[in-house]
Amino acid sequence: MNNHFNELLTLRDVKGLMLVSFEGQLVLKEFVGSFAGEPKIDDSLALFIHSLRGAREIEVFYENGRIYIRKTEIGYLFIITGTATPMALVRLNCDMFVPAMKKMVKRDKFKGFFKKN
Amino acid sequence: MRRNVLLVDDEQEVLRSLQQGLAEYNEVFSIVTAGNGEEAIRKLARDDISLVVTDLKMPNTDGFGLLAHVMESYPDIPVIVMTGYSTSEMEKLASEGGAVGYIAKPFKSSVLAELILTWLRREADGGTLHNVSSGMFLQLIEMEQKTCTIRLSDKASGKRGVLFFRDGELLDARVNGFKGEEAAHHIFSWEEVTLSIENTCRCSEKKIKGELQAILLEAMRLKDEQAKASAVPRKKPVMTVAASLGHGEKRKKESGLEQVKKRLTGTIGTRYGGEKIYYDNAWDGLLGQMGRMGKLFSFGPLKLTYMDVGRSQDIILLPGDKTIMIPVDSKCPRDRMIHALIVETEGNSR
Repeated sequence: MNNHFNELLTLRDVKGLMLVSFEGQLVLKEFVGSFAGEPKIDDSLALFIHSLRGAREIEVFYENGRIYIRKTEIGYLFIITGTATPMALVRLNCDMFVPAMKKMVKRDKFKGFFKKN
Repeated sequence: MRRNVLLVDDEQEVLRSLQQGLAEYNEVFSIVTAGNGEEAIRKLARDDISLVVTDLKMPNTDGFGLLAHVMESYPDIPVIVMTGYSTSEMEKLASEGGAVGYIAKPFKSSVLAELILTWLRREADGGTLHNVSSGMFLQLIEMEQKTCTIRLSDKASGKRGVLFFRDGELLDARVNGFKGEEAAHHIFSWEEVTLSIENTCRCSEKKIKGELQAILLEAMRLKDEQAKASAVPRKKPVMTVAASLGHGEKRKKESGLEQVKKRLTGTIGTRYGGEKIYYDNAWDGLLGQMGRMGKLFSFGPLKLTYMDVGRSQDIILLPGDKTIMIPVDSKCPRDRMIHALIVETEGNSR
């Protein structure tokens, strides 16, 4: 499981990951390198999650970046990327590890999830 | 001046009973009803609405979607939320979404009426002025560095518009479907207006880049041009300026959709499965949220959203003055389509 997350983080131009519960609580976040934009995640996540209307998968394209959002058993997984990330690879990685997340229903299991450099 | 209050609920019985209960206030406001969020969005665009009261749980666009749409497109219109599934979490969500009031069902219509009246009064808590020159007055607002929302009504045409000021700076404007600078040009061309001042401004984003003085001058220039054009002798019947604008807009709309269709067909043939491409503002709330999320990461303007909503068809949404909706086959060559649309839709972003 750790490997899947870390593989996502090492894909080209991936800036970070966030897992947000269906109630809009930030379960975990991890940003790589010196992503200057590591955002101050505000309280409006709940509204954002609500606005997704239960969608299974969302790809959002901006002028200078992208956000890939995938519904999982425990919430929405956000993969924040630059414009150079191959989205097909991101999707493929998610296809592989999202089913495995079913087992990770307890928040504690996500602690210490990422490799520390 | 009687105001319109938009009441939104999917339960016809609730709408009927509230309409009856609020009938005694019809000298102050009249009720416009909608059965869901989508209908409400259409009525907001069509009617002159001063306040929205909405249920939360509704089919199609629900109350939260409607709330997000109002915050994005009509930040001057207060929204009161009512729900039969009241929890503190729900109340918090509604408040964070921008709702000014929250009321748990069941309630007495007099309680709702009091809440509506309180918010309608605020529209003019800074005073009302009749028969004033808008240009002169607005320069005073700028000089005094006021934060306010100003609602204006043109004496000649009866049209109504809204201006948003923060610390004397003009942030945005809205009139008859126009927004930003274009709307400001319309409003500033009005010679004599009645205006009311609300001492708050719920708009935070600066959508008008130019200085107030420059916008006033440009409005005057456009007005002069229109006056000159209408003074030119006509050899054959021509359309009025308004009709010609309308025709131009229609042609532009059609070509916008046609262009998107051509791009997709040119890139992948007819395999995208989207026989129907259309404008659909029911997604504006969601795109507004997407835009805000992009800002968190300093990603710049939103260009495209692709959604798998768990049906046989996926959805592509292109932001713009009007959101373009492209239903596509979920087995379509997604990346090629997205690439074609992103490359080609420069400037069509939010």
